[in-house]
Amino acid sequence: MDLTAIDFRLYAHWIVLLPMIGFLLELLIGKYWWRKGGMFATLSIFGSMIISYGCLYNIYVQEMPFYEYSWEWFYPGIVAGFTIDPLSLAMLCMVSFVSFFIHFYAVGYMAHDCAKNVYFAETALFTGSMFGLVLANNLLQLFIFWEMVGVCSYLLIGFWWHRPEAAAAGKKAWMTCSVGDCLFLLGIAIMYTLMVGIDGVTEPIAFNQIFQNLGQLHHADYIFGIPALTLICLLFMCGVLGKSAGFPLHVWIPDAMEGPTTVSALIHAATMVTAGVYLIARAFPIFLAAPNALMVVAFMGAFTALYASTLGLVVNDLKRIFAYSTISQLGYMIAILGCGAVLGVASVAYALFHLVAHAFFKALLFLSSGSVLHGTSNTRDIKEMGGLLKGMPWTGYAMLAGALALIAFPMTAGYYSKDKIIEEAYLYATAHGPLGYLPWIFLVLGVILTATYTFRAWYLAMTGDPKSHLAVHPHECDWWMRTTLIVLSVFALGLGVMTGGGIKFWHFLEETFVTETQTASGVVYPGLDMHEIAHFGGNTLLEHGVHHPIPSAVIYLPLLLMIAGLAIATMVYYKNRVDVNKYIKKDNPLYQILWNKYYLDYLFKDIIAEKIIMTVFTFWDVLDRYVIDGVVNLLSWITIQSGQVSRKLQTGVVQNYATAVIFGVSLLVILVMLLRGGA
Amino acid sequence: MVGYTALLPEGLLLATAVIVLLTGLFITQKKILGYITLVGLLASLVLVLKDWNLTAPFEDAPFYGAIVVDPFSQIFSAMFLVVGVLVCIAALKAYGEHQRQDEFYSLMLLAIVGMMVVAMSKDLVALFIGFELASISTYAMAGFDKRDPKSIEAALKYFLIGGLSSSMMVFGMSYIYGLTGTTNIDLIAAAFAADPALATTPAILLAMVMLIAGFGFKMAFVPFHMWAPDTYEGAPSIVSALLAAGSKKMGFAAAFRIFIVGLIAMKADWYIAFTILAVVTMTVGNILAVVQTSVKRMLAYSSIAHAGYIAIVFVIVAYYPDASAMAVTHAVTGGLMHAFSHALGKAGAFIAVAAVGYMILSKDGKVDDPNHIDNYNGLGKRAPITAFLFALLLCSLAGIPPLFGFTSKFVLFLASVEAGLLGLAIICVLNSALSVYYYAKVVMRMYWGEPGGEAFIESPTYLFALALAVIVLIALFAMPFATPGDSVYIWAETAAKAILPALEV
Amino acid sequence: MGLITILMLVLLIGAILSLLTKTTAQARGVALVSSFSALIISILMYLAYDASINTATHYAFEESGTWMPSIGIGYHVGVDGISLPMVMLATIVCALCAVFSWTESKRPNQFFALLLLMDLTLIGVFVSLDFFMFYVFWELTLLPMFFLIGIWGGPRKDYSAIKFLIYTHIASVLMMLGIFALYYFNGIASGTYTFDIPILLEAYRTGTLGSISQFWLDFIFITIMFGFIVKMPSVPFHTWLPDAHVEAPTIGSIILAGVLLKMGGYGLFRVLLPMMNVASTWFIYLIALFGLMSIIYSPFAALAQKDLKKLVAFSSIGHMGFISLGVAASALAGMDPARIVAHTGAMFQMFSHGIITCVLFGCCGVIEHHTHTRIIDDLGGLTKKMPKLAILMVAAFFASLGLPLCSGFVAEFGILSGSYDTMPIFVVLAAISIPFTAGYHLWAVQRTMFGPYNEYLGDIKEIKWFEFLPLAIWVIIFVILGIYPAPIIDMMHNTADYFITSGNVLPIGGIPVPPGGAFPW
Repeated sequence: MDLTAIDFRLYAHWIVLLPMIGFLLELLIGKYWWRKGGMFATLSIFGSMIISYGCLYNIYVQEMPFYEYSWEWFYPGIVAGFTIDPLSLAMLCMVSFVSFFIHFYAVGYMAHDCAKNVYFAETALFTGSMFGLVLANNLLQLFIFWEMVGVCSYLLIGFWWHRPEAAAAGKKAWMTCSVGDCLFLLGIAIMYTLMVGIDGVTEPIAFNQIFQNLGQLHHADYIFGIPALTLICLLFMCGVLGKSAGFPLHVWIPDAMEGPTTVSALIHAATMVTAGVYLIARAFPIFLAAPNALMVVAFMGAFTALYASTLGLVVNDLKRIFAYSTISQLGYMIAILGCGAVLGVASVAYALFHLVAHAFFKALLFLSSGSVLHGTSNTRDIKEMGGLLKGMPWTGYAMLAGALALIAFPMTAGYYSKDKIIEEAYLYATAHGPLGYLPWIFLVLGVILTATYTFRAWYLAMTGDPKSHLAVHPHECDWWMRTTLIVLSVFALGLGVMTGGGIKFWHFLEETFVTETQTASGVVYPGLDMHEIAHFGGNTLLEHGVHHPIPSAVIYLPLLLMIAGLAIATMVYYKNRVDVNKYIKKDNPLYQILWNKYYLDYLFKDIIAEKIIMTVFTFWDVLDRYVIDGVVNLLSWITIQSGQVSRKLQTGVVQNYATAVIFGVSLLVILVMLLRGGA
Repeated sequence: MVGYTALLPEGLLLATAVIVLLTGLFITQKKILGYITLVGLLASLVLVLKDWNLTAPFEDAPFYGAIVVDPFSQIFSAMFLVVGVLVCIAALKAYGEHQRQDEFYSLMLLAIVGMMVVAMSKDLVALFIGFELASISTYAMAGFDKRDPKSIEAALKYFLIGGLSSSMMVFGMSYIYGLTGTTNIDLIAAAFAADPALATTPAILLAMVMLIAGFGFKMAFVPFHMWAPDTYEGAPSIVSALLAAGSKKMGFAAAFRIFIVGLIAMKADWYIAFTILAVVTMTVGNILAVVQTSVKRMLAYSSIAHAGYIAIVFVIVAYYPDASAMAVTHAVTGGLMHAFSHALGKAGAFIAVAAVGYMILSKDGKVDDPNHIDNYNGLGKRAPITAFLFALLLCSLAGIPPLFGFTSKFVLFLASVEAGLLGLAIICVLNSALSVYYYAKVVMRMYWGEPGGEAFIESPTYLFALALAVIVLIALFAMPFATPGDSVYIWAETAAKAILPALEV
Repeated sequence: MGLITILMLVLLIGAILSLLTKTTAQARGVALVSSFSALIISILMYLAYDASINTATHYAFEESGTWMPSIGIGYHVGVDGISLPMVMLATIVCALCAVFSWTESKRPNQFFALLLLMDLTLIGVFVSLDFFMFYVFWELTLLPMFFLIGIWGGPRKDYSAIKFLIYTHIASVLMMLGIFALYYFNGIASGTYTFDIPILLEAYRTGTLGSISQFWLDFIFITIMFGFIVKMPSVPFHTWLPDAHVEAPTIGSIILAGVLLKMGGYGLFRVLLPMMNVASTWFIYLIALFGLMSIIYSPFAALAQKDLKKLVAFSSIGHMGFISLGVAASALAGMDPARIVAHTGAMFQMFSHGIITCVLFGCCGVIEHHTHTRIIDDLGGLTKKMPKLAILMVAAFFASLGLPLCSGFVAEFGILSGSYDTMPIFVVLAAISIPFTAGYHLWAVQRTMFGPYNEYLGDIKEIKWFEFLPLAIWVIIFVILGIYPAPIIDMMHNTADYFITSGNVLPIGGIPVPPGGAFPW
């Protein structure tokens, strides 16, 4: 059978359906099969991976046209469908690949868990939903799966439900995200309303139709004093901040580390948290056409990148360090997308390349740290580790590979992806004048910090002497895990080289939006003119393909800073030339601020959640019980009391009755006399 | 001579009364008398139903138009007779062993004759005779349990206040006679028509109020109601049934004739009077019923409240300018229907109380008050059928479907809205909603109260009477499915039309 | 005799028969047979339903006969795209309830008889096309529920039962006055006095009630609206509901929240919608306001609750709020597609919430039955002992907080995105309340199902099969409808499309807001 003859694009829906089937099988019969679960999930995801790469082959090698399919869903114009273009393909291939290997790893990692089949069912459901999100050709489907991955994340964070902090972390994750999500949903509602008003729109919230109608859309009235499109984009941005852990909604990610490490790797490093980035990339033309929307994106992203990397310096929990680095790397991606106001669709390519590279090396870092936990019976505090490299060389060197890629060491994947981002951010700065330099400065500063905290973690964990009995005899992970670590290390180090320093990748991705898309129904959506769209939003793109000179100082600056950061880390934590402990003191305000995460958690949890909202709730209860219901009860009370009172008149003495009769008669006469006069 | 067949029912009842009285002197096995009475009642009921829409004016001797048989009188006669049948069946059990039951039966028959006469009479004198006939026999009946002091007290109060009211009534009638020179209701109306100034004199006003007081005593309007709770509570339950269901309706029959036909010219005045009375009566009745602990007393107050509902008929008739309008027709029709449904429901309810009291006294022995609500706890377990039927009767009184009580209330309130008396309508429905509370309280006691003892033996006789009432009520609600048209409504409407045309003045 | 009459007769006969039975097995048998045959009949109706039927003047399976012709009361029944799903909802819920109460041992004959009566009266409300019938059934629904709460209820059952009875009865009698006025003015104008719903609504809508003042028009509207609003119930007329739920037995709560509340929502569509054009425009905003108040109020009130069941009760208040919001928004002038979506969403919300809330209350019931407490603080870690229940309960709670791929999301998305066009502010506020809704649902799940197992509860058993089966079926229904709602939503969409675009129910293009705002002041 000639695989190359198959048009995989026609089977794209199976990419979503297979893992869903895997989910059902795991849940219902997984327990009674091979290793008590894991088979169905892993196999079904392998199937999805085949189809995804098939589609990649169709589009990239055989150069078939981009393809979109959609069918009516629950309301007229509200469709379900999938779209195959470089953007979705890049995500698909990454997600399926990483997810498959993480499942592979989990077969070993979760070997001894009793509810293994439930775990695999949930991860399969998650992966399927992630595919659905990536393939979505319309906002609603994207939102639906956006929520589905959210719910899977909730369930998996709380997978060890009997631990209160795990359950609490899951709740926190959902609550934080749902703050963003409800605004995202509102944005979709507004977009729907705007689109329905335009003639000839058959699918009001399908991306391609929105892109085609940006011309009319940007004429829409202001809403609450903001241009409609900008408002929509800002609402989307709220969703992104929640899902992709942007400042200030990032607080849930460190707690999310309560889940199994494979979950942290799969969901909170490689795939789900990148959904926000993917949303901006997918809706990029809308952001481009919305005045000032991308500026917000750029600044929020860059600030998050720096902010999170400062926090990474002080935490001692191995997984949390990587969690903060995830936040900061996501900041990089969001920032470069924001720079798209100048770079156009190229920025999507850069962002996606970093996203993919990050997926590999961050998954690697988490899995190796998972291996560390596994080997040292769940020690997570790097202060209690040390010298693990001897005990678990595979893990140690795998983590080293990931760390190098993370700090953008030359020739690693991160080097190509991240440095490109910083260079392009400089172009943005030059185009935007003094204020425009801020994102670039944030990103550049982020580099040195990244290098420092990453290697702080690695040195403290892997080198030096064991600092606790747990770290003395760590046992190396089994072959299931090892294989995964090897594969991921290869990609973390080599991805850049494989893609010719990213050039191939970027060229492929830059086809998105500007190339026409065919649909199953025969409609053809022509490619977009990015310059025109940018013009709607008051942005002006740099001419594409033309070389824009960047001072070589700027080009080499990130490299130097990285080396500097690495040097600091080495001095302090390896050679121990400096004793950091004299700075880690209660009376050191800077340390206190960092240690308390800028008091943001305190603000959200202790002030808003517990003080303000709880007070409101109790007040509300009083209102409900004693005011609203009180009125009802009062009325009945009055009735009964008046009955009790008037009952006294019924004396039982017949004279009184006679008196009453006489009285009544005379009263009637008088009343009628009076009233008839009036009447 | 043919017209006189219309009086056959009354004649039949009188004959039965005499027979019962005479045979009572000779035979010892007196239970048979009850059955004779029952036969008499049924026979005359059949006659009444047979020519329900007959119209027979007796213009010449010996009545000279003092009485008339028309759908209006017929529907009330049917009401009284049905109540009589129910009471009679109950009496078969209640007084089956009683030594002087023959007196009870004959008194009851005479009372019913009196009521029917009132319904028929078109002349104040005839009306008064019927009124007194009914009253005096019921005075005696109220005190029939002469070993029970409460019964005696009840009879005494009833008699004293009754005497007072009768005197007032006569007082009012004499004034009217003095002013119009006639006692015939049609002629009175004519006299007013001839001399409009008459309607404004203080004397006639006084007369009107006196009449209202006189009838209000029977209809138990507040503040003429005070005897009612004591009497209904003290009198034997089945007598209370007759009072609440029968003689109360007699008051309405009289009032309808006199005010709507005779005194229509001064409706502006009795509009005011009846508005006050209706509102006060229903409200006070309901509020007081809420706080009662004796089921029998609660029923007494509820029947006061129902008098209030029916009284809005006068208000509407007086308020609405166009007498032939749908609103007025609906009003009188609804009034008659509600009188009918209340007669059935209340008679049934009191009989149910009688049944429960009988069971309690026969089972739990001596209890100070068999009608106390605590004795109804868990009745659903102890006497399931009685409880079930009682609950349905209460539903009918509360105006909850699927019973006739709902339909009648529906039409009655409909009329008030049609007349545009919104305030009155709202007061009515809120009252009726409030009334649900105390009916429901009894139902709750019966169905989820803790039983005070083991199961009762339910007497089939009582059950038969109750079942009869319930079946009739349900049939009147749902019968139209079976038979074309809606018999009761049409009858009531015809009856209403029989007295309404007098309105075109 | 048409299907509808047969349907009702089946239930009536079943009720009478099961009242006469002696043992649980007999009563249950009768109840199962009659409720499931009712279910089958309703499914037959669904299969035979012709969606193309003109829904304002003709109805599917229409039957009419005389009842009391001289005051224009008739026996007139029929279904359309609104009422047929409601009939199916009633039959589905009641049939599965009969399974759920498999081992009911306290007065089984009365219990199952009341269950069937409940089913009968609810269906009667949904199929009646004559105001007299409608009102009769509307009142009759009170009785079975009153007894269910009273006989099988909790400690404060007397208070709750009587409160439920009186509170809703007052609302109904006021509604009755509105019906009277409508009947009367139509009679005056047209000369024929009738209670027939389509005729009266047509007369009201087309202004052929004669030259009556706006006061009377508004009076008719506001009284009828009050009846529905209390039944739904909307804040601030909701206080009877939590009490009733807390004391009611599980079945009572399931039917109360699942079907009985829907009578109010159904009334909005069937009765109020055609009137909106003639009545003052600000009533439409009033309805939307009631909806919004419920939506915003319920999460705050819910999170303060200690009792799991009371929390769930408040959740249904919030969800019913979405219905009134959707109805109101779809009536105003705006873009037809958006309004149709809002309208369909509101209709679907009734069905979807009807199914979801069954599982919620069912879980509360199971927990109470197995652990003998419903106080959230006393629970915790139940997943350890009853994993099956945990799956159902988590599914239900997520469906209830509007998780996609469950039917609730379809409805709420439709309402929000459809209503934004005509009522932006309302939608924004409603959307902002979503995190709070999510909040109390998650809080409840976390406190009952997760965390360490509370050992004081002792060794509790896993959920029984007859409890599991109905809950599982309901879960499957709402998940399937969330993924593929077409089977139900298509009917609703046809009807909504007709209501909005035909001009026979709402004016074409919707009800314009008068210049200077809707409110007179």
